[in-house]
Amino acid sequence: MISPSIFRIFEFLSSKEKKFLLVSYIVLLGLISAPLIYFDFTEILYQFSRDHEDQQLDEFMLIAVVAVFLLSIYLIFIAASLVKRLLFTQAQKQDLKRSVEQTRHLVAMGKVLGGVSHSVNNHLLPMIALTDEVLEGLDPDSEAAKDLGVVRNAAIGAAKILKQLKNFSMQNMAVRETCDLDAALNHAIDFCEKIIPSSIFLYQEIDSRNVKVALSELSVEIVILNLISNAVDAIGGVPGRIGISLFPSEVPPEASDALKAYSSWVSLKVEDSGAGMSGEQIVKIFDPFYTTKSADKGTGLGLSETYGIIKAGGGYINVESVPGAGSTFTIQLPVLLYEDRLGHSRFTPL
Amino acid sequence: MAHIFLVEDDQYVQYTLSKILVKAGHTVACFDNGRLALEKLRMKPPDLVITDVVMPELGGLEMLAQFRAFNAVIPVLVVSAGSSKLSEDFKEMAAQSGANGVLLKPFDRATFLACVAEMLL
Repeated sequence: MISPSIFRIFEFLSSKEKKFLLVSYIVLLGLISAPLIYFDFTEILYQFSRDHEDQQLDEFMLIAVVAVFLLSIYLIFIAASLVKRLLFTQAQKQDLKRSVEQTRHLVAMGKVLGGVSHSVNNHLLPMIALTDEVLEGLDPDSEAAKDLGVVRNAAIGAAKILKQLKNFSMQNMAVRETCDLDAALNHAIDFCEKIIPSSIFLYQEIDSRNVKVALSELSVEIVILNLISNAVDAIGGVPGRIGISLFPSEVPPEASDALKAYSSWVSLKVEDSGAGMSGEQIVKIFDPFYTTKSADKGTGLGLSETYGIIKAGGGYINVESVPGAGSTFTIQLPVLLYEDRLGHSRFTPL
Repeated sequence: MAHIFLVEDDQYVQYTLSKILVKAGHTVACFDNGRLALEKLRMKPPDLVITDVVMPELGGLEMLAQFRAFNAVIPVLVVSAGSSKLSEDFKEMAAQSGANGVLLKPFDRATFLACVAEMLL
């Protein structure tokens, strides 16, 4: 009933103009309807019709009334559709703005962390290698050797944390490794099934097969492990469920022009029945070292590492969550349809 | 026993690596940046060059590219602190500049000496 071409006009209007149109439609509707009701127009029409029934004007009057009535219905539909479209567009704008701000924030943080990581690696090298040198000349059972062993292991532990930070700061690097996402996912899920508590039901729905993405199998396993580990912590010690699904998806609206060249995309969703997160927590969830858990439960690097890995694969990760109602992490990745003759992916850096 | 040029601006790293190399029986000449190393490389080349990447005045890869313009024989080991350099692109860049090997920091003594031994083969 409503021509789609009408709404094409509205796409060129600003938010203010759309609001004005909407209000003016409602006012017009009121101006048309109010006199009809107030002056008992149907009674007037009936009387006019009785007085002029030999002039056939009453038929024309009836048609005019029907036309006005239909126009009113038509205007109501347009007004309702405009309201719906306006609300949806405003919600989209807010989401996009939030997404852009988060991306800028994380890119800047990535650059800072990259620099910090570089400097700290230089300081860790003497702690590890020079300790080795000193240990060469010591009795392995001596107190000094044991103490230096602790120093060395602490330095190696610090290097591992930096490696996770490297993954976060590598967001914009070209990645040459590829894997079949569904195969890597199945492998990761098999591993996770062995380590999650029995009170948690893990279910999966894999609708995409032989999907090649610009991530290594190890990267996929790290991502799944990080997300499931967070889901298990969010659920706590109570019975719960974690769902993993893989299905084809559309190009993300926030994708850059370069990534929009990839016509085929896949979505990987991990949802849990855990405690959920507030809006404030969602904004910070991918920040390195941000955690709502106690210090012995983790370093707060899992999700930032996940973010870095997904960005390096040309993908996007979003989270939806409601406090008390669980969280859903959605990852969208471009699908590699073919490779060049050197076996490298066609993926190009952002 | 080999004569090695160590090009590294970080004093802790320079001290550590030179000490390990000397105790392993090599002689070491240390340089704080690529420009100083390049001057000496033109005069009397060593058996091996070990170079950092990010340095003041002249970086490791830039020094290496200039070194390869007049010497394509002496092996060069590039030692990098990683972070954003950790990628296939960086290894390709190092190879194109003329490096014979890339070692990412941090590493332990045994790994370092094994890399040096391989470079000297």
